Order: sequence, then C-alpha cells, then structure tokens
Amino acid sequence: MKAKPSSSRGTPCLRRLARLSAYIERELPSPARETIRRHMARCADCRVVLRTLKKTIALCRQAPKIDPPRAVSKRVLEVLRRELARCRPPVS
Amino acid sequence: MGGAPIVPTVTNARDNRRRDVHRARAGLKSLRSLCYKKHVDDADRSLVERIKAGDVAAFERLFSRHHQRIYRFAARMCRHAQDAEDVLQDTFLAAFRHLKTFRGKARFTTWLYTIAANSCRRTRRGSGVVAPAKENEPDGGALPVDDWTRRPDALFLRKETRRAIEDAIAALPKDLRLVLVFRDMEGLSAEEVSRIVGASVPAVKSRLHRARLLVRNRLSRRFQESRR
Repeated sequence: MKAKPSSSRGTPCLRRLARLSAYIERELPSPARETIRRHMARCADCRVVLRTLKKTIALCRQAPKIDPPRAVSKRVLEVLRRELARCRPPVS
Repeated sequence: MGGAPIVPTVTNARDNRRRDVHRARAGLKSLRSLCYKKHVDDADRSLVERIKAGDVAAFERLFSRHHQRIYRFAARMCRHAQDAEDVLQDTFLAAFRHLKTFRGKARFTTWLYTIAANSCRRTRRGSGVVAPAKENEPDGGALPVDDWTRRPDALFLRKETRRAIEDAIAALPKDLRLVLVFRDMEGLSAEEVSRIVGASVPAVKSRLHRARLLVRNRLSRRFQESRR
C-alpha cells in the first residue's frame, strides 16, 4: 500500500510529517499539537507513519550495546600508557 | 440562573490526568538524569584537575570511565572494527594532548565526543555505506505506509531485524547519522549534539527528524519485502 496524497511534496500531510518528531517528543505548543492530533484522528496513512516512526525511534534506542573487545581496550591502554610515560603532564 | 453548569467531560479529565502523570514522570526522570550527570561531571572534573596538576596516571581512570562509550559511538559511525579501534586510540591520545584546552564549560563527555566525531571524519572507511542521494530524501519517493508495528514482537528481536536497523543507519549520510547516533543511541540532548556538531539546535532537530524518517522508510521497505 502506498500513501496517495502524502507522497507529493508540499501537501498538508507532508507539512505535518515535518513536525512529527517534535510531536512525538511533546515539544510542540498546544495548538500545533492539537492540530496534528485532530489530523491523525482522520488520516489513516499519517497514523501509520506516526506509529512506525515511534517504533523506529524505540528500535534505535533499544539497539544492543557494542562493547569493545577486551583485547582492543588492552591494546589502546598500552599505547596510552606509553604516551603518558613519554609526555610531560599537560600544564593548565 | 438558567445556564447548565459547566462540567468537564470525562475524556478531558482523563486526558488532563494522563498529561499530568506523564509530566510528573518526565520531570522525575529528568531530575534523576540531572543528578546522575552532575555526579559524573564532578568526578570527571576532579580527574581532569588531578591530571593537570601532574598526576598523569589519573588519565587511565578517565579512559576506563569513557572508553566504552567512545568505542560504541565509533563502531556505529565507522562500522569497521579496525576504524573503531583507531578512533578510540586517536580520541584519547588527542584528549590527553589537549587536556589543557578543556575548561570545564561543557561536560567532559561532550568534549570527548567532539574529538571522537572529528576523528571519525578522518578514518579511511569512515563514511560507511551511504545510499544513493535520491533514497536519502525522506519524501523523495512514495512514502511506504505498511503498518509493520503490528507484527509479532519476536520479529523485532531477530538478528536479521537488528541487522536491518544497523544497515538502515549505516546507509544514512554522515551528518544525519552523526545526529541520530548521538541523540537516539547515545542519549545525548539536542543541545549537547548541537555543541558537538557545531550546528544550531533547530538544525540538529531537523537533521534528526530526516534521519529517523529515512531509517523508518528503509525498515518499512524491508518489512514489506520480507512479507512477499
């Protein structure tokens, strides 16, 4: 399924889409928020975009952490130790 | 006195209560986060002062406190283990050499991330996999409106889905990826990101929104394809 009116630049739907992140993060002033809320109530396509955008943000936030392999931390720390031993302490 | 008394509707009262609860929770979360950040900042500042006073061994403590976050950021930006290691090393070497320029006006982590972001720009493969320009316009093509959020939760825990998210992020143009990684993955505020990338807060928010829409569009296409 493809969005009909919302896919062309400059339509009212797209102008609202430009503020969706601000809407999700509750950064919009009440009147703008209310306008989007009313639009969402009657535009099924925009509701889907809103839901999928929220889910995208959640998936990014829940992405598994990448920890440095122990060997990497050890190697870099060794390089740093050599540098610390070589350099004079930084002067403030 | 013929007018009917004005009674708030149940829906309004419920909406107001929900909003109040949401605000109270957000306020509490923000207060906890502020207290934690202040605690972290104080500890970092004290270590920096010790190093400036000549106790260079304290730098190892700074390394152990922050190397994981810098590696994680570098790995997401570069998507190559050797580059991530290079960025980690360059960042801490540069931080040590230029520690005298850290005045403590910004948080130490913000300062460190700024060095790491500059280091990422210099890596050999740092640009990652960037999609063709047309694909990088959130409204450049038809907007997919398949509601994949109703798929079973198990789908989002699968390795392929996680890989699809990483791929979608890696395909972003670098300036958008930088903002999305900092904001949505590292949890920095828009103000902190603005300081690191040297752009205004509205510009950061606008880039973040474009990045999110692009990732969302790619995921939508991916889920549509997997359904066929």
